[in-house]
Amino acid sequence: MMTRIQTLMVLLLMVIACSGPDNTRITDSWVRLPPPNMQMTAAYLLIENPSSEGITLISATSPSIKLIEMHKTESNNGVATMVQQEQVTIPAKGMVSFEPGGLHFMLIGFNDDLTEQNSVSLTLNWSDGTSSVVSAKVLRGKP
Amino acid sequence: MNKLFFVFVAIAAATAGLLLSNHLGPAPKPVVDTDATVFQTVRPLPEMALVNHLGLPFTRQSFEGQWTLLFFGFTHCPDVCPTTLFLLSQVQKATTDLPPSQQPKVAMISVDPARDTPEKLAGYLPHFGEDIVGATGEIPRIQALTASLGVAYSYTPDGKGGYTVDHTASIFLISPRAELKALFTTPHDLETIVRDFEYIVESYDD
Repeated sequence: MMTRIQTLMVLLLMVIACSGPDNTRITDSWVRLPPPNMQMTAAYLLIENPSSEGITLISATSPSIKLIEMHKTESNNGVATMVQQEQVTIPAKGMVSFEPGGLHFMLIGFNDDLTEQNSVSLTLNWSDGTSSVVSAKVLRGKP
Repeated sequence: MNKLFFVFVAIAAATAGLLLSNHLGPAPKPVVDTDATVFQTVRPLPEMALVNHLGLPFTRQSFEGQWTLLFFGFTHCPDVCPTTLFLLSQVQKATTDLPPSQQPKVAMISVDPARDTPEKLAGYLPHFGEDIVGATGEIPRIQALTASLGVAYSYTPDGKGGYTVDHTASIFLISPRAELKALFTTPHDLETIVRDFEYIVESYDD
């Protein structure tokens, strides 16, 4: 016989499991091959959220990269400006595309050499405390 | 009976159309509705005294004799500049079937000359294409060119002790007479740029 507290905790766990990014689909991930001697590049991917709750990305990390920031390239009268994003929300039953000229992960400083066709492990950290790990191939341009 | 009448009318109309079109001569070249802004008035580039990625003079004359897709950018640029340079190299690849005189060169002029020395550009640009030309120079000299083309740029601290450069991300098509011929604004699309570029160079009187 479960106590009321235990029942509550089970319910809470169920809620977390449902609202977490378990069903989140992350595809089309790639990292732009940095030019020689440049310690900066960008990563791109597509996140789909089939659940009925929005999910919020708060950061990204990688053992290969010193610092990852989320930015959005915005255009004002043709002038491209990078606007840092503290968080990015993927709406319920929606998707968000990180793509060239738009949202992107800015990769600053490399612990490993990024070579073409190799893969970089990226960890996406969600506001609910969970995280998703994706492997992004290093490519010259969008596949 | 009615059906036969309509067939007759259709044949008559088609014959009339054919006769009329013969009378008017060959159909005019279709006017393509370009995505690019194409300038019909002559807009010569100003004189300039910059230096290219090999350390050689880069002047107005550097544009003469070939078509150039010109972009303003900087090497410490994670998204827009690599994306655009990669796209421009794709435009070059997609236009190799044109006569050599119509194939475009690609040039990037730095809006961050403090960091973009000729050596820096020489290490950076070949990554995107062996024949991409880079140019840099003192701010007032770059300013003279950007002002004449309506290119804006400004420096913004990045919060980590460095800075980033906001800049116009348009692509400028410069004619073999060193004149501004067309302007491609963002967002840039490969197929659209190739289509418009081919239309512009093929209808250009040289």
